[in-house]
Amino acid sequence: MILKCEDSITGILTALFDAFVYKNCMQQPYEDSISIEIGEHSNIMLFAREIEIKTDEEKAAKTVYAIQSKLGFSVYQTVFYALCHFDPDRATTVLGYLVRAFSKGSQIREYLADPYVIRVMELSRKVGNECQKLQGFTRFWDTGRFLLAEIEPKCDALPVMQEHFTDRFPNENFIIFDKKRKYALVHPAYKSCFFVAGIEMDEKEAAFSEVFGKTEASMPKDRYEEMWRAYFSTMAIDERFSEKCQNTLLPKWYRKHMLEFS
Amino acid sequence: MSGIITELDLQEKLKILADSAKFDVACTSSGVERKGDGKHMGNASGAGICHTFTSDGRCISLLKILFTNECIYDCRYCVNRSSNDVVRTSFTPEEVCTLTMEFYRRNYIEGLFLSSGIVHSPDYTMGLLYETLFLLRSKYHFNGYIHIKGIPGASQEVVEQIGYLCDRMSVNLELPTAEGLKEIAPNKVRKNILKPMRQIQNGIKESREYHGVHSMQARVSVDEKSYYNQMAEIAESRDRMIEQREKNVKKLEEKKDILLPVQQRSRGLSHPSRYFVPAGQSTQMIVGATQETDYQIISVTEALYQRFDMKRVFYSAFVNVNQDENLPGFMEKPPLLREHRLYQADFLLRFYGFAAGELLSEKNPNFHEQIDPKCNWAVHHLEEFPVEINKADYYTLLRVPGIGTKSAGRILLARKHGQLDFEDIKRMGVVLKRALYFITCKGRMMYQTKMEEDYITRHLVYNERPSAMLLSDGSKKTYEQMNLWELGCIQQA
Repeated sequence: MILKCEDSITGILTALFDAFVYKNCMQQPYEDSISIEIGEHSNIMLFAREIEIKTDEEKAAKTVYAIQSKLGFSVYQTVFYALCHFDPDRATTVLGYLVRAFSKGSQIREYLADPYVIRVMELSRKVGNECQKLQGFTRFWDTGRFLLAEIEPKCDALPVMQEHFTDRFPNENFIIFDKKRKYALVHPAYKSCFFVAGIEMDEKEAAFSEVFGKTEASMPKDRYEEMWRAYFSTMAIDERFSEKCQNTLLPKWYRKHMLEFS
Repeated sequence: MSGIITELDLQEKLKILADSAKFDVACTSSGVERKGDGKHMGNASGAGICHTFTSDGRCISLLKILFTNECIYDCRYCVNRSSNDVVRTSFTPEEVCTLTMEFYRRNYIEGLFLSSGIVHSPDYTMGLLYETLFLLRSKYHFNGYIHIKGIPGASQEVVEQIGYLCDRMSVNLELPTAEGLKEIAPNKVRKNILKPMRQIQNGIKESREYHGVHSMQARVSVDEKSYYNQMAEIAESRDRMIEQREKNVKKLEEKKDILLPVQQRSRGLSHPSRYFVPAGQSTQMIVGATQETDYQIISVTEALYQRFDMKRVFYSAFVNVNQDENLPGFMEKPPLLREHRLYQADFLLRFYGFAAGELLSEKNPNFHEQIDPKCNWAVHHLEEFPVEINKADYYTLLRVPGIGTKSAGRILLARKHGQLDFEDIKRMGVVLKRALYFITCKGRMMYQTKMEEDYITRHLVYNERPSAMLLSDGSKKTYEQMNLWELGCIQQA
């Protein structure tokens, strides 16, 4: 059986909810026969039953509640991180993980010899590592009215990094824009933050670009950007030069939106 | 000697004062987890965050600057030695604050690392640093990470005051031995370096007791000895508490009719609500400027961890910036490999339960060039191997090359629920190309290997640097060829 869902966290969580409903109707013992496909790209399978899942906030919330209350927060976090990965099979992997988790309890994280458990651990580790790096590598520029950052992460980093940045800059208006997934995290000073998704973004693009336009044309050059560049190049010790070391620690794809490399 | 130029613009000053600070190695922002207060800027992440990496592969986490590069001392390894002719300048406290705040809000940095050359006296200089930090914390309400250099010779009072404003304090040991220090930094005295270290250590201990945090918690390996030390510590603090209470009762009886003044808890806690140096203290040593061996250096390191409760000891490969012909490293590359090996050994001391005496000895005082200290230890102690993954305890697993703290932890968890095989532990993060010589899974080794020192060493070296083992005709020395060569040796003999 193949469930097809929308490419969003809520979409996947809905599909997970429905998957458990279908699983419970199936013949026991269950043998990982349900898979979840995310988004449009699909290969048609012979003899497989395909079901379209309609994204449902309420079902998603129920899934979250069930995981948090029955398995604890750390398992929830692992699952959430894994769902932020870009792997097309992530939903199916998480489904297999959850099926095992609900029978074994919160100890599930110890079953590392199980292929589903280890895979979820790998996915969530990758997301955690990438977000940890991005927390440092994200650069804001001052547009005068708010701070703006652009990122193009491999994993869906915004939901993971949201807490870090709102906790760090409670007194700032800031926007972090995910160029790849075309949505943004918007944080007005002293208020809680929210996401602005794809379609609405297009409408706001005009307002955004107006601000950017102004920035480039008439806003005086940000002297701190110059200073940061100067500081960055000063800090290198020529006698110790090692490009290889730099490339390992700061892979080149991160540098696209980093001020000191542009 | 050129005079102090104050009319330089901020960017020029930043360049000069960052350039002089860059040889200080510690740029970590770890050790303290602090949430934001919801109103002001800043928080701190326990693991630390790197914000960028320079072309030498070192991380930039903090804005690392000197307050001033004027200095009354004449240390031979330092660019700012008083006899050098360089442009001298200083920041004002306000300038440091705005720079930090503006860099921080653009997410360039994790906080401030402030050090300084010494003007007038150590005390006067520390006073300047204190003023800056006070401004940054109280006027700008900066809640991020601050690392401050403790200046040897500064008075206890100022060290104590500044300890409540910063997250980490470090006093540089500079050179591993007192003789080395005398030779290279004639104005510095070892006693003056150790004194503030001890003071910071005691301050941290008192502050932790006050807040109910154990100092041993920070260290991963708790062996029997330190466990008993910890117990003794607790007993001692209980005695002190009882004593204090008795005193209080006595005082109360004496001054029954006088309004009691607010009880000053003890020396060293004038701001008991705040933590004193919450991220712990660190120090650094210059490697390669004097003649110390690796064994001497890691013995000093071990002593620093055990006796001064250091959080980190950093090593700095000596760069001969002054091109001083009488010092080593003149027209040479800095000893980076040596520095790397020292860091590897340092981790073995802190997280893997190794002692300095196990890694090196008087007879064998330097690290192997081609294989790391842990592999080197393992090939010399083959009698302890192979280790069975499904049975060995945590510290035994940690001694296997290719197994780190994380993968050892995962193995312990996973084997509760079933026997593990090579495939499983590989996915858990064990580096099999190093580990396979030293482990068995379910009683079997991965391949048939000889338990022989030379044989394993050659293979480990080949793993690290295949090019180093290439023969002149371009072929690689491999398993079979090694055997043939050995055969040849036997026939010749």
